Amino acid sequence: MQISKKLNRRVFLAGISAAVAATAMPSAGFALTKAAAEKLINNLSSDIFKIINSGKSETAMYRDFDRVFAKYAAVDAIARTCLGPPWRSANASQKKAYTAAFRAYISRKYGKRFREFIGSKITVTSAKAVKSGVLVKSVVKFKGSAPFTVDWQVFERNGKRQMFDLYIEGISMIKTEREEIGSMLDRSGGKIDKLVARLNKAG
Amino acid sequence: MFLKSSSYTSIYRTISVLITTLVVLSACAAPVSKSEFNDPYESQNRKMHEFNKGLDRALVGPTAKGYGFITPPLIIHIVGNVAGFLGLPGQAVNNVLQGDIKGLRQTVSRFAVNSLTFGLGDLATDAGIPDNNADFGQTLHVWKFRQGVYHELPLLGPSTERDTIGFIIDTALNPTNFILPSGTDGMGLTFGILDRLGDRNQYSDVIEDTLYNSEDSYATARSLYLQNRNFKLNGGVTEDSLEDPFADF
Repeated sequence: MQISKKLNRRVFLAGISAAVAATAMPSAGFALTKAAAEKLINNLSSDIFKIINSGKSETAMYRDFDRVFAKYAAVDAIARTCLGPPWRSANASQKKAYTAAFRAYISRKYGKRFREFIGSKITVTSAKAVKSGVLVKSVVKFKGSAPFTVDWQVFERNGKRQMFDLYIEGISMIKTEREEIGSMLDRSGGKIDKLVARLNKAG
Repeated sequence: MFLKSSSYTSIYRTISVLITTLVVLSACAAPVSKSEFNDPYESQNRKMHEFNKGLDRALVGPTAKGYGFITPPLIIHIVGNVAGFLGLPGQAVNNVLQGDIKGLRQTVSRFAVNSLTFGLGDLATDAGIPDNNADFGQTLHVWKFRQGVYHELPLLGPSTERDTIGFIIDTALNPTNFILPSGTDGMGLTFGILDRLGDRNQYSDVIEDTLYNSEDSYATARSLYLQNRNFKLNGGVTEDSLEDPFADF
């Protein structure tokens, strides 16, 4: 009787400490916390809004967007994901040329989209841990019209926090651009060099 | 679809025919699609897409811009508010059908608050009462009906089988489309159409980028529609839909 009671208690205590360890694990195990991801997005969005409200010319703004994109986003991972399997068959200089063209294309295209945010206010509302990092949710409010949601996928690589994807009302930049780049590659006869030339003219 | 107040019986007949169609549709297996989307009728859809683009270029786009040009911004804004207001009773029906108490409370509060301005203003949004935009396609989703195949409808554009049936039922179900005093019937639809023109004008940059500047406007429109639709149906971005930053090709 006595022994089994003791044993039970020990099992019980062991269970509790295991549970505590398990709940403590995520913050100890994963370097990317929700707070850190939220901070990254707060900084990123405040940089974007600074550009929008700067009153600079369109080309100057695209240059600024390009800098912000390179600073906060995992440009190479995004570019690679948008190209998909053809990435494997490209050689090193093609990969480099494609990534550079992609980066400028995104800065032009999304720079244009972000300019429509003039006069709005963005607020980070929540964050949740997902298998590949953190998904940060924010709301963009325009005076007198319905707010819309922008979600940001943040991950950490080699100790660096980076933005990977953004969703405007559920529309993913990566999914949309993968479709677009796939069509461009089709029209380029599957040739990466022609795709790069096409990208330089698009957006 | 401009239904007269005397045509109740025909509306209910329409609804029962639609529900029968729905049951039949959900029972038969859809053909297998080649792309990542359920789009087995892609070649027909592409023809419809070209037709819609032609229509937008020749008629809808210019009409919307004309409407935007001659109408003061304030009026366009008010038309949008009225269209939203007239949609609320139908929205409330969908909240009930979905068993969504929170949504119903929002819809009723929006209706009550915006009634103060006769629907002309949108005090509710300013007061932080969001519009949940419940629709019958969503209700069918809640009821576990399958999405069905993707298709592009004439004039209305991207849809799915489930959303098309939802749209038809919403149109028939919305009381403001037919039970207003005679002379004002069809008001909900009229404001709905004007509101769409206003949107076509307001978002002309995005719409024209998609239709005329994208590499494959059919594929882009399909992707944008389905992504946004799934976002609404799932109540946000789901973890399963996220791309993997470490994917190695």
